[in-house]
Amino acid sequence: MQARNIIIAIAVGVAASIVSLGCYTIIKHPDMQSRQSYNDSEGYTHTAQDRDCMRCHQDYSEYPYGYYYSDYYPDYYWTYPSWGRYYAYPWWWDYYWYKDDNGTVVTGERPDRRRQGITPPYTRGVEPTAPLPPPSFPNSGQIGGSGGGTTTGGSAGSGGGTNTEEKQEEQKPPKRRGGTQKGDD
Amino acid sequence: MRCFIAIASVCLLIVLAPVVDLQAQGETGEFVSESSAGSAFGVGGRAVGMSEAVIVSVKDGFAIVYNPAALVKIKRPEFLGALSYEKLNNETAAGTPFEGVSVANNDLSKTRLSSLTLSVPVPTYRGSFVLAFGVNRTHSFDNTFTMYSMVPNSSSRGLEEVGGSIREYAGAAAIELSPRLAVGITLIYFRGGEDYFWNFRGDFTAPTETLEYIDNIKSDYSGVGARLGSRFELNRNFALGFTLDTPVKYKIEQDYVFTTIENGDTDIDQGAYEYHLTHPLSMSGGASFQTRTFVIEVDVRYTDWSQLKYDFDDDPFLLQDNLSLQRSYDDALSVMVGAEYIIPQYDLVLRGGFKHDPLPFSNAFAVNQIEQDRNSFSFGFSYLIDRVAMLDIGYARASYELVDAVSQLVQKYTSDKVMVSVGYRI
Repeated sequence: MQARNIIIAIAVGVAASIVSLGCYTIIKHPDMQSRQSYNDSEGYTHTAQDRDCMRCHQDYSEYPYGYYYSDYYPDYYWTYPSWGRYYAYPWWWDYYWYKDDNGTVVTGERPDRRRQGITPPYTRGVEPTAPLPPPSFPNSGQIGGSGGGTTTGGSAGSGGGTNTEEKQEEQKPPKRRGGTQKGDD
Repeated sequence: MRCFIAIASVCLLIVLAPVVDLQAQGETGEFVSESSAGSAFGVGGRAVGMSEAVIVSVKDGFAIVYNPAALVKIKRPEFLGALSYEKLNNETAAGTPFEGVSVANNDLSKTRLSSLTLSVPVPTYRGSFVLAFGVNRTHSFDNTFTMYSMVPNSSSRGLEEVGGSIREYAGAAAIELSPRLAVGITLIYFRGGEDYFWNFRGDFTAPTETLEYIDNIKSDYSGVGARLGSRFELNRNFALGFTLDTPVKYKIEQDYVFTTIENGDTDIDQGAYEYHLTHPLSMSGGASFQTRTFVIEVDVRYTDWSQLKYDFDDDPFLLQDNLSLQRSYDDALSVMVGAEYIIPQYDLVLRGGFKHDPLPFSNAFAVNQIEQDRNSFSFGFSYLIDRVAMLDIGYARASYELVDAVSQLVQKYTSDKVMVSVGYRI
């Protein structure tokens, strides 16, 4: 009976600690989108990203990336990366690693960009020296208008201007370019 | 039979004559032995190399055994496996006035799969949350005892060999409550078995009598328990740890065959028996000090084995055995000290340790007097293999000495244990 009481006391103590200290460990990051969303004239809902990370992470300098780097993460973890990789580097951070074309491991941003090139203004921003491969979507001429101009030459600046004009003329939100575009005809 | 008892009594008196003083130290009641008491067996090469002083500094999946809260230090999925090799030796000598005449020695070696664990850190934005699962051989029954006695008109020899273990089938979870405070829990299903063998043969020459015992007892253990752990970093150098193992009520199912051969006549007694034995709670605490490449840790573990208890609902006779059981055992405070030095440029860690691990016997009975308590020293090393695997090898040597003041046998036990474990982190 005495043992049971001790166990219950410890369990209550742990539960009280969790409640009083708050849940330090965060598995899912809080939704940072502002609740002040609004609808524009076309009926689209816009929300603002809350980028003020330091509002919640005042202790960032002490706990960078959410981890307390005490002496358990001594300097040799970086001098001899094998140690740091084994003991200190969370496996889900591997997602931020990738190899370039030469097989060299580089670090950079999370490679989460997809369908590059189909975001407005549908140009690569530099003057191509050779015709670009045709876009993967069927109705580029109609949407891009001046996109044809871009492929036939001219300055990047003029191409960009043309696109801008097209957008101003159409005054429509960008349409999705993937898949069947029935509404474009 | 009566004739034999008379002869044996005379022989016993001859043996006992010089040891009256020793016997006066103990009670005349029956010592009750439960081999699961005080049979803890270290797991993992690092822990064995540090004499199990790892409650605070454990940093791999063996935290499921030593301190589940320390699981929060694991940042990558980890597979762990361990093998143990143990060589046990018993040397028994008869006491005064037969010392040097009757000496027996026996070795017993066992190689076992000790552990398999999987630890999975859950991706977090802040803090740490780790789940772990594993099977660990945390209690060992492996032991041997032998005796040889030559007194006027009689000789006897005996050999005892015990094998088996209890394994923990466990699941654990640990979470950081703050940057420096972590808690964890391990839920455990205990399962194991013990094979006991005893062979005794006595020859008596006046008149000629022979007696032989061949005993086999097979015991299956099962039970459920939990281990709670916490870990707190005071600052960059000091950290504390605390664990509590809940009481465990074991269900023990036994099948036995006792064979008695007396003057060529064989009598076999066999049957089955089932009872429940509750182990008391156990508490452990530790403190570690560490610098950039050096760690030293001191741990203590306290268990009051006098709280061992039979469930006498199973059998009214166990009520009486409870009293004897609780007088047979005493509390035990183990002290462990371990240290390690890291040589990062060679991917190498060197370590050593010392453990004072008292036997749980109470010394109340003459048959089981502790002459020298159980102590061990250890050393070992780790080698980091290409940043994904860690090889840990630990060696520990333990020894203790018991005196059976009734049969006047001085028993020396030594154990040489090698633990090899390999961790792989994805």
